[in-house]
Amino acid sequence: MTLADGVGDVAAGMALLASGVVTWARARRSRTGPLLALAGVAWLAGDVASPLVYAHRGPLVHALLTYPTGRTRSVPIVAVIVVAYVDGLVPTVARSPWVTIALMAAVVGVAAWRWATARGLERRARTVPFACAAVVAAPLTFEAIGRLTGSETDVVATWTYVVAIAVTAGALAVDLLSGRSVRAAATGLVVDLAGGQEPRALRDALARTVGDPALEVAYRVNQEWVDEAGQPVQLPASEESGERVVTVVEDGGTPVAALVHDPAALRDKTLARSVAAAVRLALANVRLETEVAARVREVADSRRRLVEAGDEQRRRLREQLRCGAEQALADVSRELAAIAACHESETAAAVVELVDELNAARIDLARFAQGVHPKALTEHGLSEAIGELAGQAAVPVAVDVPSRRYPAPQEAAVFFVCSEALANVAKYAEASGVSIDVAEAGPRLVVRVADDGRGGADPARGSGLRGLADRVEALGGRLSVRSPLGAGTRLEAELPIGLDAS
Amino acid sequence: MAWTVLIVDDHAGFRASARALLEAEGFDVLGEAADGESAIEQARRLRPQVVLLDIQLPGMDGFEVADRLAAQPAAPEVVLISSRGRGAFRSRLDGAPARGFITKAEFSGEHLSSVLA
Repeated sequence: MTLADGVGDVAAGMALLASGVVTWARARRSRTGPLLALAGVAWLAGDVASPLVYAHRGPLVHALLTYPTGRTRSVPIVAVIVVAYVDGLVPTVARSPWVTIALMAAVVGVAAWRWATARGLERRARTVPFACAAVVAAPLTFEAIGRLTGSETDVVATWTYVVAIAVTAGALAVDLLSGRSVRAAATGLVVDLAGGQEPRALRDALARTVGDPALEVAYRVNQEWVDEAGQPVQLPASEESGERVVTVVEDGGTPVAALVHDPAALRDKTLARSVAAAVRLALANVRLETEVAARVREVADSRRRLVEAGDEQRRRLREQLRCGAEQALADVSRELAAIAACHESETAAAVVELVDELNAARIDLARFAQGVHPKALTEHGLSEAIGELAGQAAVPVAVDVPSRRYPAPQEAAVFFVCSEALANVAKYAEASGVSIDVAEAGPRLVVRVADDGRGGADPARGSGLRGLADRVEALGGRLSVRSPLGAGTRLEAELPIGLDAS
Repeated sequence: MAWTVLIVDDHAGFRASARALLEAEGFDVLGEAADGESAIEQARRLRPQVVLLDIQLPGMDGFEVADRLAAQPAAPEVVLISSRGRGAFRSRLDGAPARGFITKAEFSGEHLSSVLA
């Protein structure tokens, strides 16, 4: 060994030792530091006791294949590590080029497998050890192949290996201490959260980022914890409950969310802070969505109130017509009739004629008032009002309507559905019969009007059906029209009655 | 089951209005007649359950038509109507073979139903 070789050799050992000690001191929970330090000690020991010249391989492979925690439960990884320790401690084995090649292939293979099977933070964290494994394996494999082929590779391989060891020691220490992979994860989290603000998307993004697929998110709503669907959930009783840990996210001192996760997932403080910030940000979005949903509800309520107010106005208009104009016409008609009765003359005959005109006008007004809002509906309900409708229809109508009363808006909607449907039958359907069925289906009132006419009705055409659909939807219901050509028209409306049925 | 009705009145405007109103209120109007003769003929042919009969008809008046209708087999119910009040006809109304009387000023499907009830 030349002086230069010796200096390089010691420098590599010192690099391992120094990296290990610094990492050990700063990242106390990770075993990577002790493993690197052990590898450094073994490396330096090999310089003074030749049987230990390969002893650093065990802790080095151990550190590479378990980075960043220094721990593993994976059987293949444990197996490769055990082989590396045995290889390092038994020089006769370590000197075999085939064993070296196989061991290095296994190390690189396992490091690649760890990298490829990980996601999010884990994958980012496993990138550096994967690269380091390749850097370390390359000169050893090169040297082993050289021995197999009888080529002179010793000097190059040795120097390359020394450099690879130093680079690996430095890279692992810098990566672990800088939290670079953690910051990358936090950045990715913000990007992920920008994509979708649904609670489920938030959970998935968090789970990916911290590398815990079983991560759960609970939200603080009205002093209780609920899941994404708003169902109450019980958090694990203590701070640490078995394998799961609860991290509470606070906003201005108030708990807003809780993460239930693997203890390892949020061990890094930088990541934990980033995750908390991201959760707060996402919750603000979720709250915005909630507000939008509340506005949508308000709009729906105001539509319903508009329909109800419209119906109420129709009722009032009808009563005003009956008690006002209609009554006044009736009074005038009676007065004139009385005057005519007292006089037998041509004038009297003319007055009688006038009285008949007045009566006709009054009756027309009464009929108009009836159309504005049928009195039978207000006073006797759907059964009688639809019965009247059916009586006016141009074709026979089979009616099956319950006699009980429903809330006025629902009764009016059902009535006008039937009224519009029968009007359409008369205008377009060329039907020979119609059936009207009104029935309760759970919390809903269902009305079906079916005819045996020519079908082909287009719900998009004409304002009648659109107005009906508006009325039905304003009450939280839905209207559907099926009208296949030649097979009749079937109009169906469903209206919720459960909440405020009287 | 809706009542079937024949409307008898010499005033075409009233007949049309009454028909529209009765139909809107669930009655089944089978036909209209403008005078007594055609009223009797149509009642025989259409077999209405109710004849809404104006008293002041040209020629044969409503009382006479009511008598002739009552003489028919399966006679219809007769409800007399007039522009004049009940007082104008006094005792003639009491003796008439009619279910009831309604002034045209008060006429409505509801009123007719209550007379027939």
